[in-house]
Amino acid sequence: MKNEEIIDFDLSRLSLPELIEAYEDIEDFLNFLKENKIEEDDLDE
Amino acid sequence: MNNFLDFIKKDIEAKRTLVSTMPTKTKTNIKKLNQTIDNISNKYINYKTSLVNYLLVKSRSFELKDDNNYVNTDKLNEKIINLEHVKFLLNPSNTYFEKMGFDTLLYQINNYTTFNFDSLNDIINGFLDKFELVGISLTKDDFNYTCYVHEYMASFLEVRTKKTKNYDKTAEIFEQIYWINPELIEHIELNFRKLIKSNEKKFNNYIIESQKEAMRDNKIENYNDCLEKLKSLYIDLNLAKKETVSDIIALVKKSELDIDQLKEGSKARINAYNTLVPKDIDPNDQKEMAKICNILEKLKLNIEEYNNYLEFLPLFNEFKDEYLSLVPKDGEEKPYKGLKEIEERINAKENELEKINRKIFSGKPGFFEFKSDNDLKHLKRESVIKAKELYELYKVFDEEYFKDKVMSILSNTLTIMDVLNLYYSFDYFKKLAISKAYNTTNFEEISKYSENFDLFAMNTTNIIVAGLPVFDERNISKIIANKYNLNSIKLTEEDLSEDNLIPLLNKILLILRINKIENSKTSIEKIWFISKVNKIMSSDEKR
Repeated sequence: MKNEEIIDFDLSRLSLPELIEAYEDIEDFLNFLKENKIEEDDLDE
Repeated sequence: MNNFLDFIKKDIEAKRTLVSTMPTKTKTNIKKLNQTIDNISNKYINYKTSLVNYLLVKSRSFELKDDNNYVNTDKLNEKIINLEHVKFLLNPSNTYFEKMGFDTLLYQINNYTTFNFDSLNDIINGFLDKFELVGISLTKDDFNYTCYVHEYMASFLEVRTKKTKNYDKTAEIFEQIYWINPELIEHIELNFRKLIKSNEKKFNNYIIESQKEAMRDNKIENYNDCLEKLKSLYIDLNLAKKETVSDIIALVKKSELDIDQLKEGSKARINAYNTLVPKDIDPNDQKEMAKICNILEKLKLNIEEYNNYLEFLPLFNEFKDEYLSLVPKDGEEKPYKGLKEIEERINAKENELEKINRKIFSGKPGFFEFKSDNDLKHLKRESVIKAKELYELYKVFDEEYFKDKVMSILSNTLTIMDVLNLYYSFDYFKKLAISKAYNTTNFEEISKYSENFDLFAMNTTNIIVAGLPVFDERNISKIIANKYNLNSIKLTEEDLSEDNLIPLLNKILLILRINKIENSKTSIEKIWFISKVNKIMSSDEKR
């Protein structure tokens, strides 16, 4: 998993619009994850 | 090294598929799903934190050091305020009356219904302060316009002398008098008018001394010298205050300017260039664009001036309707006597009032004592009627006073600039004219118009109104369009119609801003980036 650490990416290689795009993609994805989480208390076995 | 964007795009796609296809039938399934989501979320929150830090550092590196010299502007402003005061004192169009600020106080006392009792006291104190400024300490004996004015002002002066600011007793007296003499405030105004008139010499001397002092302190020779120096200071101030790239960045950050409109290919940018940049000019040719922008800066000032003119067109039209028929024909100029006539009528009536007052104050209607209270009541009623008549005469006087000033400059070559200077010099009449032209009696609204009018009148970059005749129709849109057509900027009259002025101004601003940014150390893309990061940070702060 080490290659997934952000430290291993050279952000300076990204253009300014790409940097913003990366942020927006992450933000969208985090929202997606939040929406897909299911409350465990509400469910029966 | 891997490309971060490519990596997250692929990774996100894979992980979205994973999350979407994980079973959710049992609690164990759900626990597993949630655990997977938590793991992925933690990783991506870390990514986000690192990325945001990077964005912030990068965005800060694009900020420009302040390219505006504020110290310089402050000093310039201070000099301008001083010279504006000298200009006000030296203004040859008006008299000690306006220079002392009596016209402003008169306007306020005329509109006393807008204020409360405290504000009325402030206005009266304002008058008294001005007398004290020239060394005149008014006493209750000076307020003898009517016995009611005397009674009220005696109480008022008592509080003023004691400096207690407790006007409760005065308010009681006011209320008692008000039901017998509801025009009390109007008569106090007349008493002040009379006192100002009788002390004219002292006020004039005070103004002359103030003028000398102001000229000496500011090294000014005369009025014209003052105007020249002011003009040069305003040029410096306009240069110092010229919008900088830092200002543009600040506007973008405050979301007051949409940076997307400045980007290449944007509809607004294409539209602005199509309207204002000649077809044969390459927008990438910096030298040519610098020339165009120079012309556009001038066009911008012309449009702003024209826009101001249109705002006050009702006022100029009102002036035109009022005075067109009085414009002297060639060889027909004769001195205007209206003011002198009304002054004589006022003096005569004030003498009559004084005679009645003498009887009231001495307690003797003639050679004999009052026979009954009725005699005294009758005289008091008579004095109030006379004062009421005088108030009407003073209204005529005001009209004649201003008319006299107008007649002294009225000709068929009178320009809008002359009218600007005239109303700028006579605050009271400017406000009356505004009230009439805009059909409003709202004090705040009139004050706002008046402030804007003064700013317009003071603007040293005014150039169109200097040659614009009041009594002759001119198509200003056509004049401006023709002028700039000569500079290859193809404007139509339609472009300069009232409704299109602000959109046209915005197009000019857009081109000027693009040019400014492109000739600076930064770029539109960098400013766009700063604005995006700014939005990210503020939305993060809100969470």
